[in-house]
Amino acid sequence: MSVAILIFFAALLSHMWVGLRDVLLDYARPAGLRCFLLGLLGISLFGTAAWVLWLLLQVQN
Amino acid sequence: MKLSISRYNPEHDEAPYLQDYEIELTPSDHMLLDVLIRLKAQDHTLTLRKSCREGICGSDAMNINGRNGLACITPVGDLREPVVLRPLPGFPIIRDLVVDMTNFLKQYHSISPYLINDEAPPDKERLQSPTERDKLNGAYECIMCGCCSSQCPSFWWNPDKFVGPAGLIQAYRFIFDSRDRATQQRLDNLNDAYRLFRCRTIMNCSEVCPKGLEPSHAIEKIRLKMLKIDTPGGLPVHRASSIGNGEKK
Repeated sequence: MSVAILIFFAALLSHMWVGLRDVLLDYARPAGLRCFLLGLLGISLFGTAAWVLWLLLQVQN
Repeated sequence: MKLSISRYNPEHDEAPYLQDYEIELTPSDHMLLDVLIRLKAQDHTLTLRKSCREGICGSDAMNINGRNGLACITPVGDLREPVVLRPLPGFPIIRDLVVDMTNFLKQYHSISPYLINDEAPPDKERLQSPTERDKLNGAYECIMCGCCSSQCPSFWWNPDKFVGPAGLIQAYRFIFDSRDRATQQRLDNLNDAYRLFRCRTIMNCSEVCPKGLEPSHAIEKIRLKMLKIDTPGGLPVHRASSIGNGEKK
């Protein structure tokens, strides 16, 4: 069950990355702003992934 | 016939505006360009580009009732009135219906639109089989009118970085030419986040091409080629709709 949840979130977060990355590439024109926003997005998604992992480990224990 | 034409003279207008015209149609008015040329007799300040009057030079590309097309091959009878004429969207306006094609052409030049082959030239010509030549069908016919790139939202948002459908269909024409020896360089040239990959397969380009070409299909084939997947055959060419732009309801 935990594996299924993990796979689900991996897919969801990858989908979010691809979608929002494409929006930022299209509409965030200044390079500095774009890099900053992409970095922010990456950190948020990694943070979410880490949180999901932590929650699943908590449940397992 | 009632028309609403976008007018803009940078010398004394702040912004483009629509001006209404009314003209009596004569039996010799078959295409929109015929009407526009006669309209110039009424208002000699109306400015537009036109040349071949047969859909091969691409000079008179404009936005007709919201859809890009060539005025010289747009039948008058099928147009919904008032006919709204605007310059190609997304391109800087020089005056009235004349736009600045500099950036559009810069993107075209950036894909190296010439054969690259440093091998010693043969006595007669560089040979190509009929099958190899067929791969260029649907791409060599492009007249660089700008209808496709001008109707592409991705090109509107990033005209300086995204090559655009016109440039990409020409890139296809050289990537898939068996006589060219710079295929990998051409593919590497397009392989970044912007040059080709801003294409979201919106497919406005294929919809409005006045020559019935399909740039979206060409872009798909380039993507596959980047993944080293070779697809047989050339590009489809569909007969441009005889209904024209802005069908009468």
